[in-house]
Amino acid sequence: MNDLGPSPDPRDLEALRAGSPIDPGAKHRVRARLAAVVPSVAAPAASRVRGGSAPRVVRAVSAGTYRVALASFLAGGVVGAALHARWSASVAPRAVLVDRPVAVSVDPPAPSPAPEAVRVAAPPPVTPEAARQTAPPPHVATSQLSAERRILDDARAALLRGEAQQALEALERHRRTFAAPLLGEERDALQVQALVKAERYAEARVRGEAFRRRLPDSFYLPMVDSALASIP
Amino acid sequence: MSARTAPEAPDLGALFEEHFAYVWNTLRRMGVREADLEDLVHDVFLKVHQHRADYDPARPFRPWVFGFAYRTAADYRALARHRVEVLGSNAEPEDPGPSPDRRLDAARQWTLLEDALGSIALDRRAVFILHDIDEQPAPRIAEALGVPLNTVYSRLRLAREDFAAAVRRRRARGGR
Repeated sequence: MNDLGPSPDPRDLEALRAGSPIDPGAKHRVRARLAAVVPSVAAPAASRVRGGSAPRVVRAVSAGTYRVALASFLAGGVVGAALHARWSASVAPRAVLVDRPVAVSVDPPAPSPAPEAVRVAAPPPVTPEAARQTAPPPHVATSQLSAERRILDDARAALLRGEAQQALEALERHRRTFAAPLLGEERDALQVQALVKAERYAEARVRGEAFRRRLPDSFYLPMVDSALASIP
Repeated sequence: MSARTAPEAPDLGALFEEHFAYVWNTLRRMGVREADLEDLVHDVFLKVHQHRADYDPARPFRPWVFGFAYRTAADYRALARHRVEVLGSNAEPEDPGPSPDRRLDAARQWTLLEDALGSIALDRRAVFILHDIDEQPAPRIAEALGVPLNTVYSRLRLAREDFAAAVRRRRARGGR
């Protein structure tokens, strides 16, 4: 067996495992954003209703939190009641972006215009090398990431509400705002989804196939393929 | 008869509830800035959702999700060209001055250790995190990172040496 180097002090490893405190609001915010894409993530209680695979996890979290709240109530009277009320609010479903989950790919077939040759401007070829050459300076990259993310989240939320035109407008805003996008791949995948949703099937096919040629290993390719497969 | 087919893809909500803190801390340990953690945690779980059909429920989830977190962090670092991280850098931190007491409180201890961790190259750091912090066996680490087993052992040895030296330097300065 090779020498694996000096073993770290177990106390140091325990300190690293403990990690740093995480803002409780962060988890709620990330969940809300995920719920815009995957509605089942919306609230822990939702998994119980679905009878899905997570009831053990949800019950364990709730039971532990309940014991803490109950002990505080008995010991602290008013303080305990306040904690219990907070606990109740924290497990109640929060308002999330999706009121009525709308699956992008499930739409009743609508009459489409007679097929004809459609001239669609193919997206300019973008290679990773070209993207890096026009990438923003490093010191603005982090804030650009957040700004791009917000616009794309708006587009996703619009798609889930069934508002394809709003989604397309958000994506166009992203394209105009960021000449050297950090999240261009994700934007282009959402574009295909939005075009399908807007029943602009010919354009969706052109963009989808261009996406597949450009980015055959993309994380977002399954989303593109699924959208194209839903075209009646 | 139930329409269920086996194996079922994992429920993302349950995975999120159980492993949010793990993904957050993993990304942080790999140098993602505090301001960007929410974005990247979101991205990791989105990738989990997109690849959920590839997950074998018979295997532990964390090494599998670590692979996504690692690639996400690596892409983030390449885009942002970060050389100075929240956790630390190859440059030594400023000397905080002599401490009247050799014992460090828990917060300073944790900061020192995270800073030392941040000084390790990312590919070595990933192995160190998975093996020594997450306590995953080497073959599983090799699979999660897509590298040969001997590479895991080699990176672990180098990471431990780097970590030990970094901790030694920082404690020597802080303890005077």
